Amino acid sequence: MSESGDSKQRDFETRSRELLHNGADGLSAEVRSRLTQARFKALEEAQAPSSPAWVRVLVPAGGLAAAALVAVIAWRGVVGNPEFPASEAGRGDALEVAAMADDYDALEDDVEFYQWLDTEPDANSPDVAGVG
Amino acid sequence: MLRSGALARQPAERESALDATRELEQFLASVEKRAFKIAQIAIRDVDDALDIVQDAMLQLARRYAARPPDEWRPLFYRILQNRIRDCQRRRLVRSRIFAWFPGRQDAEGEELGDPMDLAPSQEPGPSERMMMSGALEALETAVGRLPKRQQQAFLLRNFEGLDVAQTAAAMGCSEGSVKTHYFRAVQTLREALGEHW
Repeated sequence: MSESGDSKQRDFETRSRELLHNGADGLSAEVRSRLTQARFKALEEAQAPSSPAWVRVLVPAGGLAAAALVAVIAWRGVVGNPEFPASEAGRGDALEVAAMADDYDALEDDVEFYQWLDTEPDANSPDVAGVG
Repeated sequence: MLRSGALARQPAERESALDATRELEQFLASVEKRAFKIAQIAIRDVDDALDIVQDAMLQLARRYAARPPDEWRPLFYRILQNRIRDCQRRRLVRSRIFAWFPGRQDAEGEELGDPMDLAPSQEPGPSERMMMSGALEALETAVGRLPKRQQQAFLLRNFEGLDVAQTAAAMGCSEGSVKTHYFRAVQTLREALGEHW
């Protein structure tokens, strides 16, 4: 850039800076008042006593530890129990449903058998308990 | 012995805290008007600009008051720029949401448009514009139309007087980017305002 170009750029920068500063100095009384209120509010915030450092560190750390403990207990309860592994439990549920479906099939196929069974005396009733 | 020593230190600590508060107050008082103008030029709304400046002041006081005072200016302007960007994003989202709703119509079936546009404008009225310097108005309008990064670089460097390193810290970019954005901003403004402005 030429010297005259540099000079014009500097003039432009100087003039625009002065104008913007004049604009800032000429703010309305209402805006200036609200800026002052905002400043006081911020200063109150800065003066407010903050929690001790150990509280700021230990409270979040304690919360995290408690959450981790609950997660571990829940996980061990479902997955970590060797007597009821999760896959076995899931398979058990599925088998139970399948077995119930088989029972319904048997009911439909052997209606006559169950009608006959209903006419027979109860094997657990006192009058047949001694038969053997 | 230890207890009496601690008690003796308390007035000195209180005095130190008061000094820090006074220093923070002086800093905030020194930047608040320019910060407001920067926000107003970017946002073009007095109330939103005031909210943005207040948020930036609160954030600085809450989180950075204990930092060395010579770090406050770039930190404050970084917070201010983030708040301006958040406000612009909220407006963008709001305008997109309104675009999904069918336009309201008046009795003659004419579209009424966005209700926010019907709210009383915070822009200066005709009489205020008459009082406002024509040159200042032209400059503020031209700066307001600059791309965001150029606008930030120009206002922080030229208006606020931050050096290149402080501007880079406030804008969250490299010093080379600041120089590029600032140079382009000045070129654009000179073209927009004319040689004899």
